[in-house]
Amino acid sequence: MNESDAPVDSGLEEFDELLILSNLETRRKFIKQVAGTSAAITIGPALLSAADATATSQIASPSKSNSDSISMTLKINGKDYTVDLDPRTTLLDALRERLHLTGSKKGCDHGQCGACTVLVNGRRINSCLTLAVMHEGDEITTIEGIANGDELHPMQTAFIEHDGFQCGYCTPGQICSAVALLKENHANSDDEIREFMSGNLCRCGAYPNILAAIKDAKTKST
Amino acid sequence: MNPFAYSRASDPTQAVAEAVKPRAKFLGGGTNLIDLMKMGVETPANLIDINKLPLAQIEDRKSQGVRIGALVRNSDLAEHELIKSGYPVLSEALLSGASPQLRNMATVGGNLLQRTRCYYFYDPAFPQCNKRNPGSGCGAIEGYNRIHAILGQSDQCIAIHPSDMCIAMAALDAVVRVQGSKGEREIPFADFHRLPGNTPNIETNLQQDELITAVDLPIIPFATRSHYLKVRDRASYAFALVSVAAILDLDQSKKVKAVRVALGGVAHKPWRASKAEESLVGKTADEKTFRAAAEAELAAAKGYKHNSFKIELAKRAIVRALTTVAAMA
Amino acid sequence: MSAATLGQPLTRVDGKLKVIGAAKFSAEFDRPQLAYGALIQSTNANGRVSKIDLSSLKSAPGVIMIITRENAPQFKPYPDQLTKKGAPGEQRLPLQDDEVHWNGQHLGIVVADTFERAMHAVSLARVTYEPAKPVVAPDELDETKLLAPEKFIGREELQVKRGDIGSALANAATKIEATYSTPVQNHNPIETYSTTAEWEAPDRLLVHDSTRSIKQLQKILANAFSLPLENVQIVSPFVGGAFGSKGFQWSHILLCAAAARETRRPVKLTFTRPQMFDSAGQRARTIQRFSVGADQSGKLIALRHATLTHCSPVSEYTEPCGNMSRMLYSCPNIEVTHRLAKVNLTTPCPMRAPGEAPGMFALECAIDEMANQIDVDPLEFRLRNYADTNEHEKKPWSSKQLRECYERGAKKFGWPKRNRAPGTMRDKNGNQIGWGMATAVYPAMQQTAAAHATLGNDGFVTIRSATHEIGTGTYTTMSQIASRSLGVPLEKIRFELGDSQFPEAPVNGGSWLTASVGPAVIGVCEELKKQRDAGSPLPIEADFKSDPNKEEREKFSFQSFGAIFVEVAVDLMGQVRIRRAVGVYDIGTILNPRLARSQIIGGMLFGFGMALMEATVPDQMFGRIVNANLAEYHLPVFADTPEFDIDFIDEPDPHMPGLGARGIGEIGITGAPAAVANAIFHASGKRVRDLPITPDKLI
Repeated sequence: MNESDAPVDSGLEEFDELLILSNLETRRKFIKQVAGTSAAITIGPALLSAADATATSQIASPSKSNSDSISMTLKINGKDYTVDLDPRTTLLDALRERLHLTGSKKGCDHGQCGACTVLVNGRRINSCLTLAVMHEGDEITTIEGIANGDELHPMQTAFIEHDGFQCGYCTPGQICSAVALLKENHANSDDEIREFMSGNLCRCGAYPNILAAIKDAKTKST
Repeated sequence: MNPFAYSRASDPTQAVAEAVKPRAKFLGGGTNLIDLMKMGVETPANLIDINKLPLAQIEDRKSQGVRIGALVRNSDLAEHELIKSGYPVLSEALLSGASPQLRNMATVGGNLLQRTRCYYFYDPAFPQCNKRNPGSGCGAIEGYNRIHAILGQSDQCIAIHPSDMCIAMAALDAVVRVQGSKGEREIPFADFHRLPGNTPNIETNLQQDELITAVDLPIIPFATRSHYLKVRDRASYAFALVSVAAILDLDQSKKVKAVRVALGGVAHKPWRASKAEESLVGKTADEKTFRAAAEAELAAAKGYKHNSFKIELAKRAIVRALTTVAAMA
Repeated sequence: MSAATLGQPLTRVDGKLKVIGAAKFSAEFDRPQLAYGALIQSTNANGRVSKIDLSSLKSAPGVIMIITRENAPQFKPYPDQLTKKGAPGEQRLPLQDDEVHWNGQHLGIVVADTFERAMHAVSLARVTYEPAKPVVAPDELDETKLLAPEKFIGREELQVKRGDIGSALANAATKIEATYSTPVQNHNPIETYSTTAEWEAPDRLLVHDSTRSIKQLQKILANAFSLPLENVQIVSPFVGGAFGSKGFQWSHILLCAAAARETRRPVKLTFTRPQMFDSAGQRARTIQRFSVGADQSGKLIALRHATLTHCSPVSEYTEPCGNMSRMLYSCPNIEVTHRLAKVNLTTPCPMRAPGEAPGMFALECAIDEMANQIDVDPLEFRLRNYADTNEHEKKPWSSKQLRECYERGAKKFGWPKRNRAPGTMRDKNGNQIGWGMATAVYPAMQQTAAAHATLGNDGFVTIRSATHEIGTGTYTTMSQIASRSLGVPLEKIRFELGDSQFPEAPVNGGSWLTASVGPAVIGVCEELKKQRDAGSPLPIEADFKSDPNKEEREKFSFQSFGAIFVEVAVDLMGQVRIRRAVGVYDIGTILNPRLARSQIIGGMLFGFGMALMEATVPDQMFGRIVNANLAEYHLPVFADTPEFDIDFIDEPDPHMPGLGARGIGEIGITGAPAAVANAIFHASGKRVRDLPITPDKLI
């Protein structure tokens, strides 16, 4: 499927509520309907029941035709996205700036913090230190593709349950990393988890809670 | 990041042919090269993506040792049964480096070609660096030099080699296999990286048209008794202040039959501690012997304003690493 | 879910958005025709710019606009309120002169059509300078050039004398003199600063910014561009960590808004990680001299705390290290001084527990040194000198349960089993083991805040306040408060924040959010309830504004307290690992124990980083930060995490408004560095007085 030309129809009306967080016009309209006042950010448990990972999947920007750009197809969360990119574009910037998959975060842009962690062919990597063009034909999974539709991945549930984050900025990277960690079979003791999660910095200091979340998710997934 | 032309090589011969293009660079895992390109330190005009080359095998060559393809990822090498059982020092070194994500990306060949570590080299806003700009001087010698070299440095450069993997490979007498436009050749590990001398901008003896295809590990039966010790400023995900790769063979009476020691974090290249090795052979493996060996190796060390501590630190690390290996059954 | 949710360990209401990657941070709002900004920065620390050569930059692909001194708009000066003596944030407007005050200072902004092109273009700027030798360290200047600031942000006295310190020291039975120092540190939230500015009309500015100070930023931008306040809208629904950053006026925001106006396109400017070190605040280096004296009975009789720190040439913000020394212990003779050096480094600003973090490191180490000198257990020494009142303010405490914190913490930790002599414990690997403790303290402040509430036809309650979510759980705790106040289930509460069009709320700092916005939420809910109970037809709306209770503030001294105990292991190579940490805190009512524990742990880890690894290092010749990245500036990683045991006294402060909650964001860091340093001394017998305590200082 080529995602670059047409908007994705989520097929679910409720998702509009979530999208108010990403689209100011929609947000303003929504707020007018609900409260009859100006712009607002809305959030709360009522919205969360409708929230879903796939809701953040959006369309790619229209291709720019620069003489120095390369047309490529990237397979992300099971969907093909065809885009023209400057070859300098990192996988992270392609996700965030062109494909609007902003779940993957930029913290350092130099492989020093892990906020940009995504899975490529099932393995965790830093998407900031790799060029998008190097990943044609790869299976790329971002935080937006970790849940199974409306059903959260056990790791996501465990992160909520054990308060494995505060500001939430490093969280997508932590979760992608933790999902890979279980697959790598490196979650066999507290110290092993600590060591093999050390590529993901958390300045809020949620590490002990993330440790608890990973252990919990491991129990639940085995 | 400078603009560049991107191409994807389909076989090693083609890659080597492409390498003669102006300012060409091979792109492997990218973990160091893309980092430096973002900093404006590396400015290749041509990037040749070699990730699709068939160089990702680990081959058991029986009596001839193990051949590691240049594109084997660090994590795969560290976890490979042949390495874990036969060369634990290498597995430990790899796992002590960087982070799981970076180890999934970084290749063996790329690890060999990591640029040296120095604040003044990495940041082009500093006017002085004989690597970036030969003849401009060294910002570190009179600047902040806590992480810098204490052995083998020159008055042109005191940067240090950053790899953990290479320290273990230096101790293991690995051999680097390369393919160039004139054919293939082998480079003994000790000859692969260079000391800075008057040309700190040239860090290895690899030629522009040469591609690393593999690293060969010889059979060293006693390498099963080996250890990599890394001293750093935090518990993980940090470069070594000092590191030690130690391999030790003892006889029945605890005398040293053979020993290999290499140091990281102390020099512009992986530092094979041959003086320490010489002093150890034939002696009883105890703390006193180890300390004497460490003293012998570090006798020539020279510290600067902020890094003199590394001299004592290296000695203690050598003693601790050898003690650990000697205690292995 | 029932409405009685307060005090329960609820999970975060915004948790799901955060774990699926749908929480939108400031750099993640896609705008039509978005362009990318990049900053031209000085590579000299002092002098003047003589020329900026833009020739190759201008012809670089994709460049839309370049703004430098040559074509910069004239910004109106910052409002007086933000430039008072000692105010944090940048006092100097960008691009209005050619002077250079620090390495990294912004000299211009480049706008291009893609991020890649903007980053490449900016690297092509060639700046020439008339350089002058920079002053980089505060101790380079002689005494006569130092300032003696009167107050910390117009609040706390920085030069304090009580009794006769000279004769008290002369008569002391036991005395120590020691100098402690802490390096420059950077906040380094994982999200960097980001601004996306967009002119919706020639007189209407919309800004998505990573700010924790939306109302202040609205004023700054309205002022700078001479716009009516209501024509500037700031949106900031999620902030990816702040820790003192993202709260003040910094030049890049003005530059981004100016670039958006000139290009007539939305412009996004996101800091690189190195810019987090040179572009918008840091904790200044401190050098703190202590003279402490005690009498025969081990009672403190003299305490002198002299701080030398620095600001930039264009600010007089002072890291107030001595505030706690004035009153944490009972002591009749006190001298607290602060001296300030203007150096060529980035303008400093508050960083988590400004003053308390470095000041308490020094004070609590000095107390430990005194205890060792008189050979008494450090906890016993603290109890002997327990302050029953605030002797500086001459007021009773609003409430103080520090004794209980000490007792409970000591018991949990096993402190009574401690052998006082240093260097006596080893683990099975031969590592030295040490136990150390320290007191934690942080003021409990309150600010004015307001809220608006609507009860809709659908039974949903919407509450709005221009506050922020920086990770502290504002969405959750405010929803909990509203739920309880109204008796409405949590599912029917929407708490909205992060928009400057909402009612007034303070800067998200000073650990005052809950104590400030909480009462506003309670108040507005009460108003709503009155109307609801009177049978008013739906929808109904209410407004409420809450002010600090001045009378109570006059009568009492408001502080939170705690006690922290740590065990460290020190190996042969001088590597320190923290094995376990116990903390017990008296911070008033706990609204949500799950989130409270998380914040305390986060604060303690922040302090452990400060103790063991964090230091921003300027090159002495160029004043440029050599380690401006996360590979060389070490934040604690997962493997640095000890086992934590956290407990709370959890009793309301009877004089705090509303809920009796005092605030939690900063107290965790206070005391943590000293506890670690004291434990290292206990393990090794080595007293390291200069942070961070890295291996080189222990071998």
